Amino acid sequence: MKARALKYQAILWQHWPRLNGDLVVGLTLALVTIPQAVAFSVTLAGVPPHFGIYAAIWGVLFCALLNPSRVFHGGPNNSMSAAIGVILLPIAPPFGAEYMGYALTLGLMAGLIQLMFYAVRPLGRMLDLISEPVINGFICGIGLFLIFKSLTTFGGLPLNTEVEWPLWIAWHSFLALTEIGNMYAIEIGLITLVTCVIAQQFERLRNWAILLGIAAGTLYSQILTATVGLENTGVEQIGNLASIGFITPSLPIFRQEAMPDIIAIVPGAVTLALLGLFQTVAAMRRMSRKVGGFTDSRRAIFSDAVSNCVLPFLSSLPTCASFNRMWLVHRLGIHSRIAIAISALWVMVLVLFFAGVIAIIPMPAMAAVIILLGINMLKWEDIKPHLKNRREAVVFIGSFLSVLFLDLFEAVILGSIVAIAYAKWEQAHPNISLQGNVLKIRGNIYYGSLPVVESMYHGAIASRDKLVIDLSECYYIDHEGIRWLAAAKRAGKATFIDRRSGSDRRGVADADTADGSSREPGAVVHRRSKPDRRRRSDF
Amino acid sequence: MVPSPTTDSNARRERRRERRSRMRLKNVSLAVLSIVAFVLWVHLGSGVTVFRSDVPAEPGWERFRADYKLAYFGDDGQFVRAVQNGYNLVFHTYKYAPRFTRKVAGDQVSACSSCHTAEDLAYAFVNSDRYDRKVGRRVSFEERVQRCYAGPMDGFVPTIYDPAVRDIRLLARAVARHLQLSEGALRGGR
Amino acid sequence: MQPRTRTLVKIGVLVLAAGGFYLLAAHKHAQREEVRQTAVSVTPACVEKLSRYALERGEYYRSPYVVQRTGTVSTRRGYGDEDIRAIQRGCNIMDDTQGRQATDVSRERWNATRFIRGNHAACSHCHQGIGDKQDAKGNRLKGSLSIGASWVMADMYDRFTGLLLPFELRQMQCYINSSNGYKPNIADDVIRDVTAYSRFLSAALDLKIGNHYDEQGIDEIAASDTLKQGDDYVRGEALYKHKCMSCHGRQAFGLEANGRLVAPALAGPNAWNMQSRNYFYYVSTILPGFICRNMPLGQENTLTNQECRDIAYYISNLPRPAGDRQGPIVALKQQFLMTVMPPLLRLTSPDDAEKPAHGTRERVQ
Repeated sequence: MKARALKYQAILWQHWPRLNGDLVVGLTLALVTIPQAVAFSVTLAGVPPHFGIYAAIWGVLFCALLNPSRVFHGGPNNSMSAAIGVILLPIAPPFGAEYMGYALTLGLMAGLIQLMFYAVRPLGRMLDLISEPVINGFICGIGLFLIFKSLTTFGGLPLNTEVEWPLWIAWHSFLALTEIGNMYAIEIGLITLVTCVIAQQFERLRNWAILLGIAAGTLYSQILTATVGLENTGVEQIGNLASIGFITPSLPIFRQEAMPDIIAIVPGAVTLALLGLFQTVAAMRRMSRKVGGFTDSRRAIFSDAVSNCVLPFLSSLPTCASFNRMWLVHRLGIHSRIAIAISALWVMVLVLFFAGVIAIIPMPAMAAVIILLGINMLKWEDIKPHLKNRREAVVFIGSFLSVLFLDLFEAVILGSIVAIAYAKWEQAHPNISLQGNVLKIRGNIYYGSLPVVESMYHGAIASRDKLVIDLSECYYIDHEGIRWLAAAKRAGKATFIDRRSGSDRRGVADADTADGSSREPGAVVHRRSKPDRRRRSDF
Repeated sequence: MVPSPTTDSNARRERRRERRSRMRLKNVSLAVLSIVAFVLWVHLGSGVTVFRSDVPAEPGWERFRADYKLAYFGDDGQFVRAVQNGYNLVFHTYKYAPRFTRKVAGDQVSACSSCHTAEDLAYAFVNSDRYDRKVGRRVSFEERVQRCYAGPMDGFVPTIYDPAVRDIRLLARAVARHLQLSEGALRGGR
Repeated sequence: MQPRTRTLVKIGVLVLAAGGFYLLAAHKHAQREEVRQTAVSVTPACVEKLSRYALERGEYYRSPYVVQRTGTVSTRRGYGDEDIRAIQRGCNIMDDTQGRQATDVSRERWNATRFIRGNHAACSHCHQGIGDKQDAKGNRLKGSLSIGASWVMADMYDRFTGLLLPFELRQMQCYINSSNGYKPNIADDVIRDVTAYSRFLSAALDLKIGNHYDEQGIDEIAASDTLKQGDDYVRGEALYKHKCMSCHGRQAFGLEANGRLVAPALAGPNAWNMQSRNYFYYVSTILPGFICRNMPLGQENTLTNQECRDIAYYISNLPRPAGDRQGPIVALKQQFLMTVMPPLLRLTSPDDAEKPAHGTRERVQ
């Protein structure tokens, strides 16, 4: 008996450093996640705080269970919460029972759409075509959007429900803040914001900046309550969490009478699903690149989709990967799913114990936290690389502006289309140079680029007797291209060269023709693993 | 032909990979099933009340509806449901606005109805948006309700168009219609 | 610069910015409070109306209108100074939203014009009689958009927005229908004061909460109120040229003379947008109803139902701004139309000679 106890003690002792490490990391992660979860649900999504808290508990747990990646951290997400808030604004007044039901329905529909993206492989592949500049453009646009949307809560003003949300309203929200805002709320918000930003300047305090800010704001709010009285300050707070337990089962709305509203939010569900998928795929990609290791993004999509289908039945917001939290996990040095699961349990424990403290956190402080997060999403270091390359700059600015000026749904669709279209446009303009009588084509010869290629070709042969077409850096020729090449050959004015050597190329070994443009020393030589399909005899 | 060592180890690697992927599939299906089972248990077996977005009927609602002739606004409908929610809020505040009050069922003052009748609310509604000497400025009905939540109900301040506030206004309006009050009506007067 | 110094500078700038913003907010709040406490310079029409209803400070309010109509006295709660000022400001906003009679629009009308597109729209153009239209005998007119009657039937379900619409949000919709993209916050004084004025009107007229009164809203005209001869755009244009053009202008862009607004725009950048319920394609019964009951000014109730529908259909086809709901692409298209079409039409359509007024046209219906 004693031997067994000693044995267990020995095992625990052996794993204790690691378990201890996981506990500490889990606690850190939980302390970072809780204010975000509460802020996102209350300020952005318009649902009571337990929605975000359950997302931080059950969402993280389910993702940790389903996603094998060691650095994946799901949980509530600011873009998705903001999207929920915007989509449901014309549907029902925030914080009501109906609104919560519609939020759950929205989450469920988004989860089902994400499941469809998993099940239909080409759809999932299309996500990979959404390049980094598009997603960063969205993130920056949403960051700006977060700042503007929180202005009214920052000043204790009511949200204008039912009103569409174009960007230029932000200016008038700002004016309303200065003219009719609740001064107590503004004071609390400013204190929180200033404390957060100051704390962020110091390396050691960076992780704790938000908590410090919230503590400062709450402290000031309590001072006000003690001196002036809560009735007189009129400052909104998170509210009583005491009645919320470990878990609250819920049912999304799905009644006949709610059908018009449900149909109206279907585009919103698509937006929500796409936002979640974009962010998950992008976060996984970035983490893989920074950390090494690789997890198929399909697994991440699967875990996201399944948990988003299940979470609406547990009164929770939908989740997706949070790159910031994942980066935090990585910097804290632990790579294990156990730590992430432990963080979810820590959230549960902390919320149960500190419900009384969370209840008195003022809403302006939460709004200040959102404003800070919005500012952090506009990091210049992330934007700069995209502006160096023209194509990336166009795509980035396009998706950034579309988020600000268009409906979210239209922005996501438009951004995706712009990204794909620009890629095709680039491909359709191969680099063609004419030196002497050598026409060199770098790129692809296919139906999209043929107009450009042919116009240069005809321009060239109009002024020259003989033309040499250099296909050394041409990587792909489709059937249309082959037809053009055959026609050019038949016309008799052009000869073709390809300086790539290869014993794997069949046909005439002497690639260099009458012109004497022989293999230059230092020319790029490509070795192909497959035999060269383009036989000389074809031409 | 003698099997070369490389092909042998390749084959072993292939088999290991296949086994791993089968195990992965098994793990994943197990995970999904356990999650679904957990959710089903939570809904059906755990005994916790499931949150639904429709307005539950409290005892006394039918009587209230009949007393104040709410059928004028229809038997069912958005407005009537909101009034019903208002009824729940006023008479069972601790249960329907738990976020905005720390009171519980056993407290002496646990609901709006502990201090106000529905008719008080109606008169307050038609006399709202006036200068309040105690506060020093014009106070709307919503603000008065918010102050009640924060103060006497020992709670927190709800947003001005939160249903916890809006539905009380709608209840007051419905009762005011029954009493045929006009703007500024005084108790006991014409 | 040393990193530490840079951090200190950053912190300094931040604190200064926060402090500056706070001071700005405090200053603007003080300004607003000062305006709330200042005596109001009431427009002449409002002076007349409010004195007719005896808006005075006192412990009780007794409406002379009620005494006159019913012979009994209604005793209601009286109004204090601040209440009276709010009601006066509300009346001013309804009567003279653009602040043409004000010395300082930003102070006296709470800068309402920054929420309104163009410089024509005013509440009393539709809510005639400053929200309380009566005939010479003091009878309230059916379908005259009385805001007192709206107040007592407010907070009902609204099918256009799919929500229970609080009174304040319905006011917001008026700004949405004519706004240039900016909406006042619901807690803004501009909305609170008009609410105060509406409530005063309902007290003065002794309207009961929840009752329906004929003067509420519009007396709508559906196709079934006509002989169903079709809502004809061309017929509408002809009628418009006869009856409306002299005041509202050829392109319905409104008419200003001697710095006064003769008639507001019905189309173009100064008019209501496509999201308004006046827009025939959105709701086809409201604008015809308004026209028949209120237009032409001085000759109300002379048009037939079909004529009103025709005119409304014609007006709605003239270019107007897009609402938020239509999105930016439609907004651009409408801007293009509003800019390009009027000069094009002036060039291409010769001025029609005014046709003589019809004297003995059969008035069916």
